[in-house]
Order: sequence, then structure tokens, then C-alpha cells
Amino acid sequence: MPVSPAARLATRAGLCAAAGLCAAALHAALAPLPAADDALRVGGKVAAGAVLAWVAVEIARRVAGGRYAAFARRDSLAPVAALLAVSLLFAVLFAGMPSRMTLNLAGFHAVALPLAWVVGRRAGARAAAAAVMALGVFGAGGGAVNATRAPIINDVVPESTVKWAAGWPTTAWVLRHELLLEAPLPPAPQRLVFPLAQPYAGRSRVSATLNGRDLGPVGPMGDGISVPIPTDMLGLTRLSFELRADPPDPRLRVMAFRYGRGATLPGAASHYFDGSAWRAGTFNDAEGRQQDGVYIVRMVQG
Amino acid sequence: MISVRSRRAEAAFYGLLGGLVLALGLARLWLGPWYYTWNPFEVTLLERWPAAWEVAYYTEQFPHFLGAAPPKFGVALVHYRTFATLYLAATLYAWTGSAFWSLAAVDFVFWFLGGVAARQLARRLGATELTARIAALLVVASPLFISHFWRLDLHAANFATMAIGSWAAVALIDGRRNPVLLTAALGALLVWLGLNYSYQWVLMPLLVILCLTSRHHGWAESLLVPAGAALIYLAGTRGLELLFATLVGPASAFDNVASQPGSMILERARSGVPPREILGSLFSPYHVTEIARSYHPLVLGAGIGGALLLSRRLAALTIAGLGISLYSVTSYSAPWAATVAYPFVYVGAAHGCAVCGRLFGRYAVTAALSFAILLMSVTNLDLAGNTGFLLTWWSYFAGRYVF
Repeated sequence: MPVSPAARLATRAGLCAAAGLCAAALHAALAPLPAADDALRVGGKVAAGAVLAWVAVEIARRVAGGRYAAFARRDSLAPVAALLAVSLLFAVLFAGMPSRMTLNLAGFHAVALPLAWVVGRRAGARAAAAAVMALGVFGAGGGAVNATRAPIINDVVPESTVKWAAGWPTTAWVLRHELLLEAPLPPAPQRLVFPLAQPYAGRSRVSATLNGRDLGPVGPMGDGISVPIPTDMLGLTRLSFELRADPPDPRLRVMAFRYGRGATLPGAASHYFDGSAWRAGTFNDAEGRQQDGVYIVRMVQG
Repeated sequence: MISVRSRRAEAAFYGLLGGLVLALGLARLWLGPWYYTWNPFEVTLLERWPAAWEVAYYTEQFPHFLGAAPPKFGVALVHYRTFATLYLAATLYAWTGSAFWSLAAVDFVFWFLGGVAARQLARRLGATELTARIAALLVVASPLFISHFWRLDLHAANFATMAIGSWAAVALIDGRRNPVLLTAALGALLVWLGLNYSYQWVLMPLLVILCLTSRHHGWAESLLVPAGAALIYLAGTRGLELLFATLVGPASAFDNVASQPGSMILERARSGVPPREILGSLFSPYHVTEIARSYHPLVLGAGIGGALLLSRRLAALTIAGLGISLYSVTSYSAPWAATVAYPFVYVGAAHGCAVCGRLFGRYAVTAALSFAILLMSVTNLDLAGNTGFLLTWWSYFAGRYVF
């Protein structure tokens, strides 16, 4: 039985509303401190996002299916009207905030103009106008928030599976990093630097060995531990650095990260000794668990 | 109108293209993004996920798009040249609350659109449907996009604009006969490219070739139209810069972290380096090797061969594009500068696959696809644990990090 356009529209609108309701219910059920207005906001965003996604799919279908040589004359001003309408909406939304209005209007037009051209030449003026309006609704969504600060960027986060910190929980603890070089290092002073996860000013001191030779205390100095390579060892192609800290201090930590495939010993460059055995990878002492990865190090000349 | 069957085939192809983009991107998030595999020192965390430290250039602008307080700084070149994608990412952040996934989503969408544009470009340059689809697959599987993915500096999205801009230029030049309207439209396209990276400088000389090789424009028009478009670009860009400086504020922060190719070209011209020296550096083995290795020699060979076989237009665009690439790497050594002509090289490579496929008679399509898979594989071997190509690719930017 053929379905009327009105019934199809109503069904899809209902589906979008249902998606919003489900999202609101899920948020209320799963959020640690559920609040009714938060759940409503999430539900509203999901419902609006579903409507925008539906419009985008419809427009994409028309773009893929149609080959209009030019806009039909009676509709040719529709995209221009849509651009003006959204611009007016932005002007109202961002009244009294000239910089925000400028950024959002310029950004909107930088996307809307090419979008209208691309959609219009294949799917006609009405589809172009619909695309511009949908983008306008998307942009107006930004007007509903007031972001006061930029997202935070961290060097390390203990719970991260990408980059974390590794320290020395006990005096017996040892961190080892190995390099397997294709050719010996150039005959100039070289150091292997282990950057610290956070600046350190405590009394703990780190001592190092290289291929078993004691190099004495190597820091921390500034924001890193710097291990000089003795001149007579520059000709070696396998270098095994071992670091011990005394006394152990939980504030003294180097950085470790997950992606060790580019290391000279891929997947096997870093180890740690926990007082009883050598173990592969790193130990995230803040979380108390072994994590596959490598210590972040850098070879520095001078 | 297109038949239902071909529309479904098209939808299925775009589904495959989108799936490939997602698979290639997400696999690297799991196994190791290219940039951090090469240089772990530069990784920072945005919402516990990896991001290059340069992501701060863009996230620091989010409150300016989304906040009521006056901005702390204006729109520097580093923001201007990615303004459209920055606007989309900031707005998406307002909807999702996740800066990491908002930036990544914009990169994903443009990466996909780069493939779509490559297909349309190939069709407009006279390629068959099979060749056009292979070109789209080669573009999305190219090292250019995945190299910067998960850096979240919007470069992956920006890189797609060369394919989008090239397609738009061909569509405009072949579709419009009125030189005044064409000049205005191409000028607007160059302004848009300026808001989405720096490919306007690559496209400007290529517009002359596109006009000359189109059936609608004579010699004089082929020179005057691109020249007029360039003037509109310069005026439009200056106008936008003034608008931002007046209404948003001076770009005090991040003002010196990016350079415009235009000013680099001018600086080089003023430096008084003899042309013979510039020509000598253009054809130095290092720079030629850099270009070959940035694509992979097999891909570049197929690209040049296929371009020469497909049409004089594509051949001229590819050769001129590679010339621009050579000039670019002598001022700024980076694989993404070495591959500025990628849409033409990959269309050529796709045609090369199709031509080689024809040697296999009734298995032509299967053979062409197999060649395409081979070309896609040689630059994606890191998925199988071989990071050699990845590390060489990035080392052309700043050497090899030993760790």
C-alpha cells in the first residue's frame, strides 16, 4: 500500500523524537548524578541531531540521483533567501557579541556557500535551500552554549591508555630502555633524555647504568633526566639504559605511551624490574598496573 | 535521471569508501597514529586521547566561537587557513561536548569528501567509471590523509580541499562560458581554498592549463580569467583579514606559527638567488627522491604513466603539478608539500591500473582492482606491522627520531 508523504514525514519525525527520548532516558539511567534538565538537554540534542542527519541523508540522495543543469526559475532565489534567513538568525542570536557574530557568520558562509552550490547544481534550488537551513540550525546550536574556557590539554593522565606516567614505587625498582641502532651514533656528545611527567623539586635522585656500566647520578635536572653516553660507547649499536631512583618518590615520574611501533626495538624497547623480575612494557604506578608501551625518550646532541 | 540500479551501485560504492575511511582511521587509533609512531615526544592528551600539541592553536579558539566573553586574540594565519573546518569543529563541539571527537569527525568527513571529489574529478578529466572509483579509493588510502590523522590539527581535512578544489575548478571551467562570471566564481573558489589551507597557490597556475585545455576558452581568456581570479582572491582575502582584525581583534597569539606560500615565494624572489641555482636545487636527487617516496615510487610511476595515457589535459596537469611540488619542497621540505598535486597523480595511477587490467582480457576489472589494492597496500604496510614507509615518510619532514 503506498504511503503518503505526510505519513512518511510523521513517521520519521516520530523516530527522531523517539531517539531523543531514548537518549534522555539513557542519560538519566547512566549518569552518576542525573539531573532532569541535563537529560532533557541531551534528549533535545539527540532528537535535533537525528533530524539534521535525516535531512543530510535526504539531500545526499537527491544529489546522487539528480542532474539538474540549472535551478528552476521559480526556485532560484530559495538558497539566497535561506542564507539571508540564517544570517538574520545569527545576528539576533549573537547580538551584542560582535566578535562571536563575525566568527560564526563568516564560518557559516564559508561552509554554506559551497554547500549550496554543490547541492544546487545536482539537486536543485529547493534542496540547496534545505541544506543551507539545516546547516543554519546546526550553527544555531552553537549559540545555545556559552563556553568560557578552551578544552584542557594534558601531558599525561594516569587513567589514559595512550600516555601515562611511570615511576619508581620502591628502591629496588628499575626502568630499562633499550636502543638497537642501525648504525653507531655520530662521534659527538649525545644524551638520552627522559622527560618528566611533571616538574620535580624533591630530594630523590636518579642514577643510571648503560650496558651495565655505572654512570652515576643523572638527574632529575629541569624537567627531565638526561643520561650522557660515554664517548667510548658511541660506537655501540645496542644501548641498554637502566634508571634507579633513591629514595622512591611518587612525584618523580617519567612519561610512557602506548604506540611503540616506531621504536628501534618495536614493542620491546621498555621494561621494568619490580624487585623480583623483569617485566615487559611499563608500570603505571598511579593506577598500579602494567601497561604495554614505551618510555618517552629523546636522543639529544650536545 | 539516473536509474535506481546505478543509484544503488553508487550508494554502495560511497558506503565502501566511507567504510574504508573509518577502518583506516580507527585502525591507526588502535595500532598507532603515524605521527606519534614517528615522534612520541610530540603527543599530548585531549580528553585522554592523543592529539598533537598544535591542537591548542585550534581549541583555544573554541570559546571565541562559542562564548559570550570577548576573544583573547584574533584570527591568525594558522586559524584563517583552516577557518571553515575550525568553525565546523567548534560548532560540533557545542553539540557533542567532546573536542576530541568533534575535531576527528570533521577530519573524517573531509577525508571522505576528498575521495568523493577525486572520483568526480576523474570523471570530468575523461576517466571511465572504473578508473574514477579506483582514483577515489587510492586517494582515501593515500599516506597524505592518514599521516596527519589523530593529530587533530585539521590538516587531514585541509588536505582534502586540493581534490575538492580541483574538481570544482574543472566543473566551473568546463561548465561556464561567460568569462566574467567564470572569473568571479574561480576567484571565490580561491578565497575558499585560502580558508581551507594553501592549495589556492597550487591551483592558480593550474587554472591556466584547465582553461587552455577546455573547449570553451581561447588563449587570451585562458590567461585573463585566472589572472582576474587571482586578483579577486587577493582582494577577498585582504577584505576578510581586515574584517577579522576589526571585529574580532588583532591576531596577537599564534601569529608566527604558519607561513603563507605566497609570501614565501615573494621572499624567495626578493632574496636574489640566481635562477640557475633554483633550477639546480629543483632537480637535485634529494628532492626528486622525496617526491617519489612521498607517494611511493610505484604509485608515482603508475600516476605519471596513467596520466600520459589518459589525456593531454591530465598529463599537463600532472606534469605542472609535479613541477609545483618540486618547487614547494625546495622551500619547505615536507611530504605533504611533495604531494600537492595528488589528485592528478592518483587519477593517473587509477588509469594505469585500468590499462594494466585490460591486459588480462575478461578479468580486466578484477586485475585493475588487484593493481589498485597493491598500490594502496604499499603505503599502508604499517597495518601489518611494517613501519618502514611511515618512518621514511615522516623523516622527510624532520629526520628520524631515535627511541
